[in-house]
Amino acid sequence: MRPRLAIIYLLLVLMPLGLLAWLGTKLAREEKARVRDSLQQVMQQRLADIDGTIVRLMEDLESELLRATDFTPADAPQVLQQQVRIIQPTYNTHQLRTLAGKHRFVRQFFVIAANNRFLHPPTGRPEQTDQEKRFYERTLSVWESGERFYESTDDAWSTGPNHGWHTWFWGEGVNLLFWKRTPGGQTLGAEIEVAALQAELIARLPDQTSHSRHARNQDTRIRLLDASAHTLYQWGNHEPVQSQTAEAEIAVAPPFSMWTLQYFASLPAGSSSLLPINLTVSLLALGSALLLLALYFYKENTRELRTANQRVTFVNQVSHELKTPLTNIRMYAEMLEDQFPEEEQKPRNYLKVITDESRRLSRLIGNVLTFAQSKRQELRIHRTPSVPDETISSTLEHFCPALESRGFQIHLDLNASHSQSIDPDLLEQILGNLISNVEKYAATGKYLGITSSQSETTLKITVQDHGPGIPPNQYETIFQPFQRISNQLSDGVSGTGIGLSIARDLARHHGGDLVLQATETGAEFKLTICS
Amino acid sequence: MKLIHALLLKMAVIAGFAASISANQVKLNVAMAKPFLEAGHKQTAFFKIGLTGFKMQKKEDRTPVNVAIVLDKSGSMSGKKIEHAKEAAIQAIDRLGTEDIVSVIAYDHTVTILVPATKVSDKATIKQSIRQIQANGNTALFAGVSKGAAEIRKFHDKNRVNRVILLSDGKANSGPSSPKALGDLGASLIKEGISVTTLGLGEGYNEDLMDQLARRSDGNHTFIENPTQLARIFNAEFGDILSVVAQEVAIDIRCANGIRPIRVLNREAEISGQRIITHLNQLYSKQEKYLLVEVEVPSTQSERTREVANVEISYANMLTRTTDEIASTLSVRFTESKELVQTNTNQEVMVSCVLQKATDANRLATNLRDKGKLAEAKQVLLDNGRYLERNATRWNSTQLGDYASEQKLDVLNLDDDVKYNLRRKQMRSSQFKNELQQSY
Repeated sequence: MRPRLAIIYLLLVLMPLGLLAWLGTKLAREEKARVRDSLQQVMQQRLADIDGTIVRLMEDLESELLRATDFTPADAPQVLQQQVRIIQPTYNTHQLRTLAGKHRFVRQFFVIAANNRFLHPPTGRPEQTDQEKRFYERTLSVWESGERFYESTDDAWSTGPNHGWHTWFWGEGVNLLFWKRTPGGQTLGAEIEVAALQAELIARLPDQTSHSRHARNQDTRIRLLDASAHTLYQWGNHEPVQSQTAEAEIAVAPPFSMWTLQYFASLPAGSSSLLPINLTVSLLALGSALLLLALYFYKENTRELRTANQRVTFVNQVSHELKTPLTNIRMYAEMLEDQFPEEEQKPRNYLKVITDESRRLSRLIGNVLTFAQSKRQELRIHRTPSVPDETISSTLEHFCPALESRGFQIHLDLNASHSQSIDPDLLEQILGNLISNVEKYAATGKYLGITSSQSETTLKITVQDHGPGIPPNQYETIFQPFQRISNQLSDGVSGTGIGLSIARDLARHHGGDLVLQATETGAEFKLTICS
Repeated sequence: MKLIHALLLKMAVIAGFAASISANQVKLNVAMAKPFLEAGHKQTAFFKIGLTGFKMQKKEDRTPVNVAIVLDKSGSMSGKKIEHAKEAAIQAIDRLGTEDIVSVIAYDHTVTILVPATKVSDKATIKQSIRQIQANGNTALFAGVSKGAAEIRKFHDKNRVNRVILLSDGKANSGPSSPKALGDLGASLIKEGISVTTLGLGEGYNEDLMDQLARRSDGNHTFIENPTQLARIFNAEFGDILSVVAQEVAIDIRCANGIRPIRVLNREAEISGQRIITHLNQLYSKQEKYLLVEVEVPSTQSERTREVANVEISYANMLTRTTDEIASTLSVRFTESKELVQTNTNQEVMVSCVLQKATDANRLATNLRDKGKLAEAKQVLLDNGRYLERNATRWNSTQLGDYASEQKLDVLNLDDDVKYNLRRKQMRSSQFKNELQQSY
């Protein structure tokens, strides 16, 4: 009894705790994922902002180059332009060389005629300089691929109606050309000084000091990597270890799409632990509170049980103490009754009442003691050969005066006249309880029917009445101790409420059973006893 | 007859000079190595174009500067090196005035702008920032220079001397780090009038990278073996920067018909047909910068004078704030007298020619040694030493004599890899100095 209770209480504590822990972990995990997601978004956004710096740099450079390659003579009349359709741009080699010598992002300007011939630099002509020769060698792969810049390919793309960028690999890394188509079908362009472009990019990106001014940026590191994953530039106070992988990473916008931007950060530690600290703490607090509560109820409960047990013991002892004087009273009353002459009816009647009532009292006490015994699993069966019908008759005999006085009609159909090995006292107690119930609860039916039958091993007895009957939903509960169909004392019936419970316990103890059978009128109890 | 011709020629040259010699003008000196050439056959000849900055009359006339001091604070700089570098930079700050602009950038694998470009009015704060530097990390040299240039750009002004001074003791290992990439950066910076002076400290830096960066941006480059020399070198560099008298010096040489330009010995120049174009970022007071040009002269009859080249120089005069131009024409006289050819050589030009050829040979020796051709490299250096000694005596030149001794030291340090690593830096530094006439 006690360990089971302990287990129940433990479950009471552990189950909500476990549920809460599970929910909490799930919630914390979701929260962490959410935080990570939003963090990831913030990081991606920051990288995108930086990418924006690169995009702006390229836009600035593009508009600068568009201006620089605008060789249309300034004095060309606007009207003429429409009439003659095209004004050929005017430029000469010296002018383009001087221009390249002043433009820090331009290594070399070039002009290609509509027929794919170089107008500048003077390729293959004596006035070609060594630098221009090297330019032609560097860019040879571009011209040999038959590049038509205005067609967008993997390497070339337009950023405007007639201009765009072209990348190719030569030497140490990616190289960059700006190109522009003139209305006359010429292609003007510039080879970009990539080192200068990188330097300008670095100049536009933050350094350590401007970085540390923003407190929110602390403990981060942003890296710009080139096509071969070498760091071009980095900033931020966080110093990632060799093995650390980037928290976020994006590819840079064209023309540097082979470059990547990486975001490193020192994220709060403990991100690997299953339960966050605060959840663990609250779970522990809740757990101990529940445990205390459970302990309190457990103590309360055991104390009540103890009190109840003490009461039962008390009742038991009282009953036991009552038993001997009652037996004496009954014995002497019977003896007195025997000694009175037949004609002295009045005193004999008095004595009869005394013996009947003391018998009733004995039965009650017997019930109480049997109940206590059955609870303590101390019921004993004393089998002796006896005739069941005799036991039935003698039991009924004690009730006859009371039943007859209430107008009961008794119908007997007894067919168990062979001796069987049963406990007659036990049978008497069962029958007594059943008949007493009929007397108490089925007085309105005024009918008691008892049948008996026997086989080699079993004895079957039914006790039937024509009382108000028992609702079918209570067929089982009436066998529970202290159960009565009505608890109202006003019903005018009294009882301890353990009669049926004891009757069934005894029957089962005797290897049989006591059940309530469905009938049309009243109630019919069927008792089976195995010998 | 021949003598008269020679005299006439000399007078013509002098007359040409007379026009350009003035107190606040750059002096242009154009001369053939051999004013007389042998007649009757095709030959190569050398001429020199020398430009000398005028003397600054008053100290307050000096051009204000815009300097970015870019200091390597990578781990290898820790200890004595960084302390000396800081001290040298602090001393250099003391030489600047309130009209000057300075910025201080320190880099490891990241870049910190310690002092953003600012007028040098509060020296104490600037010095305090320099003192805070602590050495740690890798070497993002490219980024350091980029940020330095960006600081200069904030107050970019053609009327200032715009200069990045880079000190590094290590190989660039974060960001672009090849000599070509840094050279390209230098080439783009000079277009804005920004020169980069590269100071290599100790045995760890990449001298080719530092050479290229300085060469292509027309800055100075030097090898500093011992950190204690830093203060002296910084002082010399600032001496140069504070004595700039001309900037944006464009040199346009047009060779006469029949004369074919072959090469410029000591500087990068673009040769396009008959034209040779190059430019210097600046000229320093009382320092001569020169160009040695090799040309092919066609066979010419004796007793004839042939025009060789017309030289036009334009530059921004920092004192008068004007763009000045000077020009000169160079001629050569042909003779059948070998004696006349020999006796009339221009000593100064000859010394320059020998020095440039010897420098070329020295560079060849480093290339051979780099390829593991030790014996050949040694032979080149030994020959070079003898060549220099011979000419030192002939032209009575201590400069050639000194360089001859350097060749001997070079030979001694060629075998051992560790010694050569250090010596190579000295060799590059000397090559740079000889070719670009660095003052220190």
